[in-house]
Amino acid sequence: MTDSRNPGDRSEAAELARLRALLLGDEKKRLDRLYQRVTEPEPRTGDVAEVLPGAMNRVADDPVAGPQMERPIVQTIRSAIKRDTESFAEALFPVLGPAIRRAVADALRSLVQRINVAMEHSFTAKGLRWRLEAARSGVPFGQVVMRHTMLYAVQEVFLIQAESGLVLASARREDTLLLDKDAFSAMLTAIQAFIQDSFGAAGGEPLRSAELGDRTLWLINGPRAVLACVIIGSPPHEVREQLMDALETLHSQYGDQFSGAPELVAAEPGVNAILQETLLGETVEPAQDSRRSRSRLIWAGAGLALLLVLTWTAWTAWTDNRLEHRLARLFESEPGYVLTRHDMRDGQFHLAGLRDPLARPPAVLIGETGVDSERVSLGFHPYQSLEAEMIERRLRAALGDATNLELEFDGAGLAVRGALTSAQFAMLENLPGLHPVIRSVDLSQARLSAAEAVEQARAQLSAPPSVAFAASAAGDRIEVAGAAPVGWFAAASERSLPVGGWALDFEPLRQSLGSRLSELERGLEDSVVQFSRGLRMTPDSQTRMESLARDLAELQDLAAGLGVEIEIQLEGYADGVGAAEKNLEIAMSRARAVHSALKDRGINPDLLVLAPGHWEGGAADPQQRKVVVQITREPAR
Amino acid sequence: MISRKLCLLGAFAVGKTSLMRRFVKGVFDERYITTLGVKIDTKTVELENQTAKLVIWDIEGADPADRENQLISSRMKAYLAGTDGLLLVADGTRPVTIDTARAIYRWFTAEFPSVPAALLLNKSDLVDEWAAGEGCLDGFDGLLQCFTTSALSGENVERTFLYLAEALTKDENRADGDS
Ligand SMILES: Nc1nc2c(ncn2[C@@H]2O[C@H](COP(=O)(O)OP(=O)(O)OP(=O)(O)O)[C@@H](O)[C@H]2O)c(=O)[nH]1
Ligand SMILES: [Mg+2]
Repeated sequence: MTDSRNPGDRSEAAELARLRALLLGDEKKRLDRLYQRVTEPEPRTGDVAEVLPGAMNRVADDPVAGPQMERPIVQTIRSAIKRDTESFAEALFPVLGPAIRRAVADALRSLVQRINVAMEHSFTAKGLRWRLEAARSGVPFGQVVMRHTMLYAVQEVFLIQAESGLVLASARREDTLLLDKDAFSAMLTAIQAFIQDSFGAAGGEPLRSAELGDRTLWLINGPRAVLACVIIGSPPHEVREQLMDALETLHSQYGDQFSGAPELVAAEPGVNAILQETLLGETVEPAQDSRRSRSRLIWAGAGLALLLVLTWTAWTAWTDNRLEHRLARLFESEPGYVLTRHDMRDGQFHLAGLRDPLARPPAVLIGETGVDSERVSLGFHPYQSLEAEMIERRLRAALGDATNLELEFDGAGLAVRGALTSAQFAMLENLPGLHPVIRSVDLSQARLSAAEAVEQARAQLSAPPSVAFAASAAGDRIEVAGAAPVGWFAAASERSLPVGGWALDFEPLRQSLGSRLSELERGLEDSVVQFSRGLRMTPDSQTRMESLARDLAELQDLAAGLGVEIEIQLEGYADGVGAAEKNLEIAMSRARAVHSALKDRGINPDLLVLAPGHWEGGAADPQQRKVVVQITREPAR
Repeated sequence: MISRKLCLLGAFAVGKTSLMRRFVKGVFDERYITTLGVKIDTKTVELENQTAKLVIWDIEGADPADRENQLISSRMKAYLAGTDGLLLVADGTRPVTIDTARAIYRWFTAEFPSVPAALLLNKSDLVDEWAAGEGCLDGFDGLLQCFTTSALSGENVERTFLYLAEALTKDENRADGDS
């Protein structure tokens, strides 16, 4: 490297520098710093940033400088858009789309033509055709109807990741058939790729719709996701706009996630809610604005009315026929009726034949069929039915009060069960021979009515009025109760025979007599006959002797009547003064004295037994001069 | 359930369609019907700790005779978009198909740097004609795994698909945005 200048120059420059340093000193350093600041970009950027916002504001307000400033900015943006259209389109997509479409929609609203689904067919013919179609294709009938009656329906939507073709989220109507949505959407995406590659330059118009048998497939393309919609019928154009709206909303809210893992998008409830709303649909409504359809409506109305009238006539004829037969069947099967003729004239049912006066009234029967009795006219002549049921009914009527009677008629013989009055007995006994059908009457299970049986029993047994007769609670016998001389009881119970089919039960009377016996026994036990001295009774005992004898007489009668064997023991006592033999002798004498007194008063001496009592000797006790009466029942032998 | 996109790519007649049929339907067909465009099928698989639906794209075969820069058509590129994993298939009896696979792999790693790829040397049942030898894996840097498979016998087929599925579902760093 060689320097063209001479060495003198170099030393001169150095001299100058030194001189400058001497003259300027610190000033030079400051100048250097300033120089540095102006020439190096880093500090300058900082300076400009400090003042830029203020300067911009001032320029924007300035009427001259403002437009000058705009030009380069707009130019920059324009060239940026030209260079990178896609990112700008993506950024503007959610904003521009709705704005443009809204404007277009407003302008076209009046022109938008609704596709008219052909509905020119009668109800029945159409229904039949649809059924045939369903049977042929194996598609459920409901779905065929929907396919035809829906003007259109978005049946299924898929939100598809634009690049991979993976399903981000989907929604479908309940009534659609399931398909493998992942395979389906991947295939769609492949088709998109194929078409775009084959027919358009990259970035050209993508596939917008396709036919899938009777369905239409709409593809709404967004920058990151595609909305694929399976549609039946012919949807109006607004539907596409609504679907685009939905896709834009999805992009603006969830677009960031559309390139990530698909399951994250599916988990967003907001995404699914928006997709649900895209399942648009409209059912057929009758066209109202064309005269042709109005006249068709009138014809249809007239046809319907005629159909109604015809149906009504057929219906009433059919129901009347059914009612007539129901009436006839009922009267034919009812006992006491013979139906000879039935028909239906001028809205009236006519029934004629024979009727037993004891048969159920016709009004009751008619009531059971539900037929208005006003519509039934009857012509029945009276007769006597020989049907078993009517015979029984007639018999009951003749017997008068026979509600508790059981009558059983087997065609020839009548069996009667229950209680009868003697008059009824007489009537029934005389029936065979008088009655046209009943050949015999079996009264073995019947008996006299309780009241009559009681009267008969009372008379037969010549019962005193104190005796009560009554049918038992079980109704199987007549119970004899109340009070009666035991002699009557003994005699009556002895020869008791059934009365009018009733057994007599004397047990209640026996029991009341028995308790009287026990009562007497208790009262007489330990009765004392006191002696004053020797064999002389005290005056008191003499008077008491009468009542004692009376009670013992009753006791003896009762025991005899009831078949109870008793023993009346007379125990003699002495006062214990003197020799024992003497005492015993006087005690036995006292017992004998009472014995003879009682015998004199009618007591059966066979029942009387004499016995010495037990007493202590050696102590004089005048109270012991007595006879004590003891009654014992003989043990049953 | 998560779903992931898987692509099968390779020279033609190496057995891509057969491998997919074997994996999805469990059957094999001797006949060769070349694939035009793409064939798509799905299969739900039980992975270690989740169930995943694999959407498998069987893409038409590349022509080994094509020059390297024409090997991948724009259509194939469109099919590959957004894929989560790649099964690169070569025919173990025809070394030229391995070269094609290598060329495709080079292009693929440049285009989809973060997507896992596995190499399948297919038709392992044809032992006598086997030609894949030493050095066949040169130039497959960063490859996830290489399997020898047979769509005919089923050898390794299930294993390979599941291996890749496991790898790409575990990959939590799935591109979240433009790739
Ligand atoms: N022996 C044997 N034959 C196979 C195997 N896999 C596929 N083939 C046969 O190879 C031929 C081509 O198979 P495809 O599966 O159609 O090949 P491909 O890769 O899909 O071909 P393109 O779709 O044309 O790219 C068919 O005849 C298959 O029967 C295998 O593992 N073993
Ligand atoms: Mg194929």
